[in-house]
Amino acid sequence: MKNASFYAGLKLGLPIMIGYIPLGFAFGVLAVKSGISAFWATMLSIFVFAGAGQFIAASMLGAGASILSIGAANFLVNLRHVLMSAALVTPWKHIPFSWKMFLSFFQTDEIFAANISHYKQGNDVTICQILTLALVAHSGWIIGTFLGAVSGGLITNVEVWGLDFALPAMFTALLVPLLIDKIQIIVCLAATVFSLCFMQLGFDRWSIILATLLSASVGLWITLQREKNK
Amino acid sequence: MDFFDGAYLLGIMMIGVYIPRLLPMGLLAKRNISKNFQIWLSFIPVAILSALLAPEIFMKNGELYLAKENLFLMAFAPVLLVAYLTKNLFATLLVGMILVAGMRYFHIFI
Repeated sequence: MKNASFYAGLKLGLPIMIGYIPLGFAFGVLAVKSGISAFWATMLSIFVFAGAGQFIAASMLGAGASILSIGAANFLVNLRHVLMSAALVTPWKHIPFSWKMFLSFFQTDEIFAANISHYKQGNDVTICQILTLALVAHSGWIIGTFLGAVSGGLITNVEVWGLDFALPAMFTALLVPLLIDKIQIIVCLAATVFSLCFMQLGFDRWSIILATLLSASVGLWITLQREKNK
Repeated sequence: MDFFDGAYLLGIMMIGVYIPRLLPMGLLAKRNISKNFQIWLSFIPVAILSALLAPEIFMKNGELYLAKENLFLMAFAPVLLVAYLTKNLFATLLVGMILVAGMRYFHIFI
């Protein structure tokens, strides 16, 4: 029984691990280029484990942003995980709280998606499967980061490799599956326009936070208007 | 980066990343959050990702940059298509990076 859970975790985790190695590598290279040392880049990948969040940190640090504003941007970009974690509350209800605290640390977009699809196929929810999946995938992220960070000095020009496009490509890949209805698309367009306007006005990094709060409010307003008209 | 800066960055990022992942496990499971707040929250992921993405694609150094020499803008349409068709992070990333690197290497648009 324990064995079956272990292999299920391994089977789910390996493709994610293979994907995380080059992604972690790209982060490692960019982190070193933006002034994070190889040691701290690897520490971030071990203790933070947030793909988009870490890329944002590297890019903001490179642009001279304060660490506090990096924390705020990380919090906002990871708010999407509130919704994901909320979806795990029911399948994980029999798992002890201390284990839940530990396991929820590893729920990146890909690991969360793998867990949920595993449950949707009617499989048992076991700590062994969740943990194996998480650790296998996490190891790829750490190994990739370490390799990228120590060889970052060898890659003198990230632009030749298109590594500077990794962040926008990642945002696109995370964004597109979320555009499931008209209102989400309107919110996307509103945030795009607000963000560009605020940037142009010189609000700098705050423009992203302002545009986010404002366009989510536009989404809420439209939803409420629609309900009223029903 | 000295030890203090590194530890500070790590700590702040851990708070920013871990709280959203942990919150529902403890709080939301027991308490009722208002319906309107839930609706508002459901727009946050799309809002933040769009707000982050737009300046990367349409701007350079804080100024609008709508020209064919803007390779990120040129690569955006195919990357959008790959993201839509595959719904796969790694495929999207790979296609995007190859496109941008390829356009630079072969001096397409530049």
